[in-house]
Amino acid sequence: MVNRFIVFIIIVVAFVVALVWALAAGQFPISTTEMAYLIFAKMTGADPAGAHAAANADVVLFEIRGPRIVAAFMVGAALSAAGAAYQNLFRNPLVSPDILGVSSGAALGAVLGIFLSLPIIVIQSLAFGGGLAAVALIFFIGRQIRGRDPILTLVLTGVVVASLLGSGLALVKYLADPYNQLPAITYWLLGSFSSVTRQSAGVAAALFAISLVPLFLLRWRINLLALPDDEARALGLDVKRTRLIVIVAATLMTAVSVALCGIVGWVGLVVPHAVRLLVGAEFSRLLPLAMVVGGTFMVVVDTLCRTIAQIEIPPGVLTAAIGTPIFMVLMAATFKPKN
Amino acid sequence: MLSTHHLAIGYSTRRLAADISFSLQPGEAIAVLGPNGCGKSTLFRTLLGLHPGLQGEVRLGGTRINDLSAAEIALNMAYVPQVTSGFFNFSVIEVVEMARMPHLAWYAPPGVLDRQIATDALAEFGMAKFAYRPFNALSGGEQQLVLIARALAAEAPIILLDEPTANLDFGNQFLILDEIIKLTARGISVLFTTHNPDHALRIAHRTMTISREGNIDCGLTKEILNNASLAALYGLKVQLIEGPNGLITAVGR
Repeated sequence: MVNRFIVFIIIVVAFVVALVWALAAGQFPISTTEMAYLIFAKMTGADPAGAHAAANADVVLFEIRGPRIVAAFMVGAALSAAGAAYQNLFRNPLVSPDILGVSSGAALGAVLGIFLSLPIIVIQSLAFGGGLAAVALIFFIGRQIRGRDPILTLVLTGVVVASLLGSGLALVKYLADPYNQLPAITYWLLGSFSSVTRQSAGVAAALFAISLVPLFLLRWRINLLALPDDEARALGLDVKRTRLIVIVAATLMTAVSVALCGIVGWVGLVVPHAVRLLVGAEFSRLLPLAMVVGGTFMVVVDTLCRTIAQIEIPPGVLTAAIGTPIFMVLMAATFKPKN
Repeated sequence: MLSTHHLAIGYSTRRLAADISFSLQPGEAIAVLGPNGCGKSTLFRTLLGLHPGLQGEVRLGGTRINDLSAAEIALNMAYVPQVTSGFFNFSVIEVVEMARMPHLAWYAPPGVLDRQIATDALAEFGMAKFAYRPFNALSGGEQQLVLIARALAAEAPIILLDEPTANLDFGNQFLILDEIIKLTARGISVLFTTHNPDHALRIAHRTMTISREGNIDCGLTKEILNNASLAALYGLKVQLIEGPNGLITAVGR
């Protein structure tokens, strides 16, 4: 564990720098002076179309870039919170919503909704149901096998269930209308923040807040879920009920993310694990820090996605490209024999 | 007070032992001895309300264990499991604070008072200097002491220890036994399992033996453990030898 205060300062500075950069960069660059003026004008109710900022800069800042950055931050924070919770729940620092197949389950539910041209609320419910079904299936299979190496069992179960869900996804893609539905599905499976609106971000924010409440209230008790069941129960924890609440909350967070912007992998795995290595496992400390780091990371990734090339790159592509090498380093650090 | 009445333990497919009746008095230490697989761990899980008994009942403070919630049980009875390595890097003080759970509201993390109690419990076993070290970085003996300190921080009148001396070196085994004596001196009731008759002879007021066939014998340690009973229990010839300071050790022949 590194000095926690220094870690905290670095995280806050990184967050502020990332936020300013994300607001400034893009096809319509906004200088920091313009940004400061526009935010000041917005807060005081002054006329934003003054001489201090380029025309339409306020629209870019508050209507286009702002909601998108807020959405990216929320999704990064939510996936990291869900990942941290799942890691405690499965007593395994290397699980995440995507490795456990929760993302695939949510994606299959949502893609099915797109395929059947269902209304958006049904698509989101299907995403939630699919995610919950996937995590329940993996939990159940892991319980039944009770192998000598529970971590290996769990990871292998996740791989198997994810590939099963993958076959379902492949079938829907094969059956989908190649001119209208297929591009929408493909686009959405790689993740994207470009279609986020103020309205969809608002609905997602409300659902994220609702699912965060139980995680926040149970933040300390979630530590005990990392212990063997018997030990946690002997310490006085109602393990079954607590676990159920945490699973539902973390799955809702994942499903809302998937419903908002598609699948963005690796964030929920790498961020909480890295933050845990830095500040320790204590969940009430881990949760807020992992959320800020995950949100910042997602904002940086999304800004890169819309600035490094002529066309937009799907964020799922970048998170995987950045996440896999980090994951390798973390795995080496985790399984390194002590002393 | 923890007591059982004609308790039978085991699983639907296999009964391990039957007709277990005892009551654990304040400040008393009872050792549970028996060969591997005789049901010591199952007995503990049944006493803790983690596993249902097949017949009879377990009572904690007069109430049947099945009628109590996990938190109500934890307030009266603390459990010291065998040391297992976890992947999560909790600090020592955080591990000890976990024992405060039944004292806290469901949404509340431990506060200043809880940290003080946890620190005091660590100090009791000379472990206060390790409070902010990662639990996983401690040696097996140190981890065992931390888990005993955690049981003390629960402020429960009864402590159950599952093979507290397993996996410890010779010196640490006796260190742990001395600490268990300290617990009973404070009026805490202790029930522990062990594979070593010497440990029962050294600190247990009473001893319960569980044979491979599931037969139970319970009484004063010196009456329960003798050459014949140990020979029957473990299936080898045993001789108890008294040392110069009155300590008795069992020698297998």
